[in-house]
Amino acid sequence: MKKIIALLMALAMSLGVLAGCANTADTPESSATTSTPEEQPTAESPKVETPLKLTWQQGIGIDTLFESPHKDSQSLYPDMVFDSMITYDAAEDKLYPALATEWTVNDDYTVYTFTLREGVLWHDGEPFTADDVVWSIHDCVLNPNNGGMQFFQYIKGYDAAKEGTTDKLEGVRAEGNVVTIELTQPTARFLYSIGMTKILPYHLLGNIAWADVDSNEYWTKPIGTGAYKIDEVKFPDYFTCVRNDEYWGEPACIKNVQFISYQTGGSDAAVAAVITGNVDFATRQVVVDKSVADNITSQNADVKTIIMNDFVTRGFFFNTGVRADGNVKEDLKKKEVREALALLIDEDAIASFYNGQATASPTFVNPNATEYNTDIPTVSKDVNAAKKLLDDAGFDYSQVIDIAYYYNDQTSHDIMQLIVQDCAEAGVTVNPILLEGDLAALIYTDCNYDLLYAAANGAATDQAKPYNQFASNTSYTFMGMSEERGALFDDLLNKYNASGDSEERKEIAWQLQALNYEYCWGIPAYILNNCVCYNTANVQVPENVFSVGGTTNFRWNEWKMLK
Amino acid sequence: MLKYVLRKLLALIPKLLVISIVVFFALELLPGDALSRTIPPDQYHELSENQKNELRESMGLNDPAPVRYIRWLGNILHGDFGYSSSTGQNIGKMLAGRLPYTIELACYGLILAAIMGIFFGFLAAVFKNTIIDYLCTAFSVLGISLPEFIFGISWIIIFSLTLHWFPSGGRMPVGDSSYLARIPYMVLPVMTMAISLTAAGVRYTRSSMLDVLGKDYVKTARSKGLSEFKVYVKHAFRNCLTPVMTLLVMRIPMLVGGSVVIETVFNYTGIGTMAMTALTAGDIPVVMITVMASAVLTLLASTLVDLVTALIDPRVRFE
Repeated sequence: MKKIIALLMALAMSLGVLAGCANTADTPESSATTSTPEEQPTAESPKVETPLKLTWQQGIGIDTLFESPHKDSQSLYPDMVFDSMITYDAAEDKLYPALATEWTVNDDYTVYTFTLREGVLWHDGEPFTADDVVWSIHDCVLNPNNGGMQFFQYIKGYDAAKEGTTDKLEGVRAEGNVVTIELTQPTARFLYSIGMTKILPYHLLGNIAWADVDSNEYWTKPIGTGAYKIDEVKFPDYFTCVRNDEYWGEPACIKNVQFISYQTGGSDAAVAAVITGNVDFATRQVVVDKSVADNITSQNADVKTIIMNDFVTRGFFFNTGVRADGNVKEDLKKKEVREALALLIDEDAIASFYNGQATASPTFVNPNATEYNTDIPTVSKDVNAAKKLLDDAGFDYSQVIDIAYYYNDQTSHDIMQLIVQDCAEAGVTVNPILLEGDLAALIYTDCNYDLLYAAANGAATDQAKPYNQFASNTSYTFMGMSEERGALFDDLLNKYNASGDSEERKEIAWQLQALNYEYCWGIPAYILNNCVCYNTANVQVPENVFSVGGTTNFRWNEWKMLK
Repeated sequence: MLKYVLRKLLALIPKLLVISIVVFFALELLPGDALSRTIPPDQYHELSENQKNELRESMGLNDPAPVRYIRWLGNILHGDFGYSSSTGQNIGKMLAGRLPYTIELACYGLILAAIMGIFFGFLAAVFKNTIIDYLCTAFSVLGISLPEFIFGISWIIIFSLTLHWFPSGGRMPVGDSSYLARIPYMVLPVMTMAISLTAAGVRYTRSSMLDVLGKDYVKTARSKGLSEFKVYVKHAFRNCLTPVMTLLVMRIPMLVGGSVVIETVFNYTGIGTMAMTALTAGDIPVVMITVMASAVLTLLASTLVDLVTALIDPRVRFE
């Protein structure tokens, strides 16, 4: 018995040792400006301003490094710590000066010139220079860990740099505080990509091999030029920011910000934290399920949910080109067959799986967006019409249509089952295939499917971007029949990408949507909107900041703590 | 006893080597381009061949598998666990930020479960077929049959959202990572973790105790005129512990590796969710290290069981 007691004692002691081993030694001392959630100002102690508490979640995890702002779309930290040359306000669809005070574009939208702001300092006190801008643009292109910015492929010298024959982009030049970017083809929307490109410090990252940039020590506590500086970092639990009092622009209103990790608990834990006051604002993809947020907000008057219009459309893309197994379905080359399948797939029913978070869409543009073609009729499920089209086209009912998908969640499985049932009503046999493993090879090389259920990325700045998938040089090579599609789409897409006139772009976007409605190369299904959730009793958020996704104008000077 | 301990520890080495070979070759030799498993397909598709080669070279994916194995094992022995292929983060630092907290949680859960399980099991056996026995049995049935997350969510609703006694999640308050500050954050996860193990402990202790109470030496003790208390505590209780301790100690790796549910419910960042995230992301270096860590813990737990058994029952170490 004594031995057992001794054993338990030893176990308890070893726990003490373990607790001592917990990663606390390398934690920097807490800043005087940081307060614990329980901390209250007293008569003896100086008043501590209430911090803004936000969720912290990154795609790569939060164990040892911050994610590059080129990739982090899940937390507000990139927009607090870093600046772009220009700021894009998605709600107003306007560009504002930021690190560049002014910019000019030549008549054919191929040469962009930016005059940089003088006197801007990095958080470590070093001056911001044109080298920072040039290096950051190169980072977007040459760093293999980055997905690349839209339209950067049009920068002069892009191909040579990508192939490794040179490490300089010929089209990016700096002279004094003026940066010039030359493109190989007209692209008016390039400015918006520049608005999304955060500028990183050349003096800290400039000498590192591109492949190693994102894993450099710099990312343990990155510095920027933004309205907030990172103060204390405790991976993987939290980090704090303090207001940058030397900020070039209007200073932020809230002095202290705490980012608390909800990487592990996810959506439900984050929303629960908003209710209990442990978090004031749960951002972006942290709240992925509107129904969860709705259930909670209905019982908590202080908690508000904002649906943020998104531009990533999910839909179906036909494969008429190539299958590694050689089983290409000739019938899908007939427009009538594709239209019939579009009539069988019930977009409204699919969107309803997401409890109001998804919007069914007859085009690949968000129905709430300015470039959405309101003339396109909603395609309702019509089995009889579909069957007639199939019969007229001489469709072979004995064949099995393979639909591939790669979202391995229950809702996606349910959607596939719904499609199987819908198509069966017209006598069409559908076989859903969940792609798992080497997705790049399965999607782009093997292509053993007839329809691919996938996301097509648009953006607030580029709402009809998904239609680029129908160009003759699409990355979706499996679509086949490139000549036919190219004849329809290529000119329009080139004009759309080049145009800087929003009315003209809208007109072209309408034509693109009408074209796909007529020829049905892809079947749009729905847009899955993001939502954010916050405690209105604790924090006041500027109006419209979160109405549209993709904004970089967060107006930190208008955020206020209410308690 | 020292010889016995040394023998058991030395026997760990070949076992660990075999495990490392199995883990490495099972995961490293998956079909397909290893690079495409480590980065998103869209990004992979956008990379030029030159960039793909650069990434493969920087990740050491171009070397033959045996060379990679020897390098991997050598690095581990030197304390270098490598870098995550999907995030570029140092795996050693990732483990350092998570493993101690998970083990801490598991140990507290184990201690709480051991104390409660043995105590209530003992009571149930001593007061067999009484209301105490029925209550303990009912508790153990509930604890075993209901999933952990039900208890976890219930504790959050009761103790966090309603009573505001403990935080609903996280590991520590912002700005204070001291041991004392972390205690309130551990209470609910530990209670949840201990529930099912306590329930199993109650059942094992009860049946083991009843089995021992029927043995001849217990009858002899009683015939010698010893008090019932002495018979229960000195003679029966000690001998009933061997199977119970085996059960408890063998649950250590399960507590560590199987803590994903608890970690998710309580937003408690630990090794379980790290392994799961790495698996879904195809992050082979992280998966290999977490599987190895789990295997090492299992082996250590198994050795600990042998040592505990030998400590309780001297016959074992004399065999």
